[in-house]
Amino acid sequence: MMPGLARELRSLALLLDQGQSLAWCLQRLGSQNQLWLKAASQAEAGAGWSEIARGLPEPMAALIPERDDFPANLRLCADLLDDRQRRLRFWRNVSIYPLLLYLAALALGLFVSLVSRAESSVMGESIGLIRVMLTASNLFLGCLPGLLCLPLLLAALLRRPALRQHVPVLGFLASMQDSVAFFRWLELAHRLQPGLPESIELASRACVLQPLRQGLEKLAEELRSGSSLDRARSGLPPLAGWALLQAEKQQFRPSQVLALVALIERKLEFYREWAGSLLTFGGYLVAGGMALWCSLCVLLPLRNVGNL
Amino acid sequence: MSQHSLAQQIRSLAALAQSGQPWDDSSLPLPLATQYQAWLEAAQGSTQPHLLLQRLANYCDEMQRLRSEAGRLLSYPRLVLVYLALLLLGLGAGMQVLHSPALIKLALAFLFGLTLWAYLSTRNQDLAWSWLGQKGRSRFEQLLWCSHLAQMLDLEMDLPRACHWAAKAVSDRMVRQQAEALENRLLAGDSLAQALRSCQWDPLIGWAAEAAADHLALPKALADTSRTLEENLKEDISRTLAWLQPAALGLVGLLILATMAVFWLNYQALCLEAAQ
Repeated sequence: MMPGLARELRSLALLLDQGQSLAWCLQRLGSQNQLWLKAASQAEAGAGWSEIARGLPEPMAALIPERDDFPANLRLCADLLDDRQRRLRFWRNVSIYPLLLYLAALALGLFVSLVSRAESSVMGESIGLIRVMLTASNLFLGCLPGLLCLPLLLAALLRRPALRQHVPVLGFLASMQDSVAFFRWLELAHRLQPGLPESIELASRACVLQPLRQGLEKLAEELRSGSSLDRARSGLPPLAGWALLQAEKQQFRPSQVLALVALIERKLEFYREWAGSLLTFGGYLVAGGMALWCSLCVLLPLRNVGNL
Repeated sequence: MSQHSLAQQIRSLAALAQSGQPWDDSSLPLPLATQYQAWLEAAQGSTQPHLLLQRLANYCDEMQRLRSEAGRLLSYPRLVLVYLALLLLGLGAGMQVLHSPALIKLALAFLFGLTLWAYLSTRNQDLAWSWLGQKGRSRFEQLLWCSHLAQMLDLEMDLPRACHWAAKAVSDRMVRQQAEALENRLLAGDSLAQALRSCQWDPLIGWAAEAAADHLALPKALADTSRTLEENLKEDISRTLAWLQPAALGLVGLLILATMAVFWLNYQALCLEAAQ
């Protein structure tokens, strides 16, 4: 996506709201961005928005007709684009945390084993093979939290979305979040253009989850080849498939689609609260457990130092 | 007095005015900031002062909300500073154990003081803008100016006078100078759009002023512009947080590691001392 496209669409909507012509607004935007300068010359030559916006990296923008609600739809499109960027950023950040957790656990483990090793060397009791075994056991026990976090690290490094597959709560939330975004885009796309497959294909661009996006693109293809929605939806998450069927029953009326969005959002909010509490509790449990583990590993040998 | 409590005070003043009792800004615990004086003047000359005062209270709340948006950026630097202070304390304790030279201890104490000072200075929310750079700060000030100007024009004030009051809402020196210069250009007969061309501001403000050349349409255009600028600013903040959050947490992790290393060194020294 062109960086700043949402921002420029919003600026365009603002200027159009003041009653200026499209060419006038594009000229102003063109003074900051060459892309819009070309668009302004096209508009002056009499081209409409749909023709001008065909060159934009976001096909949704080209669908918006130049009617009374043109600025409002431009703003909606800008909001949807921003929302997608925000979700992308959120999930990218979520993938970094297991890496940090793993490094922290590994460092704690090394620290614990070093402390234990220092203690055993001071005691001078363990010699030869026993000492090597003791050091190895300290290293293993110390690094245990780090080893336990290894799958998460691999998930984060090998394939980022896999993190959501390893943590079902996150996967479920991400799929619901994407479903909400998909239906918002679908509402706009279906309002602006005829043809369900085309709208679904366009709205699938809202999804940041690759499997869901591919599932929706496949669904659009199957619908084009004549399959019914009921049969073709099998590859989608149950909630998205159910909501799509409900929307079809209501003939994709915007108000009905938005009501479905509100319904999924309410569910999402409910699960988000639960997941937030559970993940926070889980985080505290892991951190507390690691702290306890390290304390035991460090403090128990300390007792021996006191006996020296 | 915080903006929030100021809004509460103004609301109680509005209630006083609505009940028909005599009211005056002297009943406020602290004198109102100069940028709001125009509002009070307009309220004093109005037949329905409570409406204007309520609007002023809402506006104060809005400004507070805007400022606290940027305050979110400061929570992560604060976290880093707390861990840095802990590390320095740990190092200090270690130096005590190892009987290190007084100069090193003094340097550590100085660094600790510096960290403490930096932590305390993060209480100043204006500092948050430095994370968005001078451009970000300037954008925020332009947003304040634009929003204030729209409000002043809505009070049916003439443009140069509205600009005069709007400039008082700006705290950044550079933006304020430009805002004050605007007033002079308007008095010299320029239109707002012409006057704005000399400013290095977000072009959207100038375009909106040009599009709504009619004085009656200007307040709405400027209010819309400030809303759009606010949305852009929120997006900037969210983009900054996207890199600041993991970076700060990574840094905190490194500081924890360093603290543990210090602890280990101290521990080893203690063990060696115990063995001797």
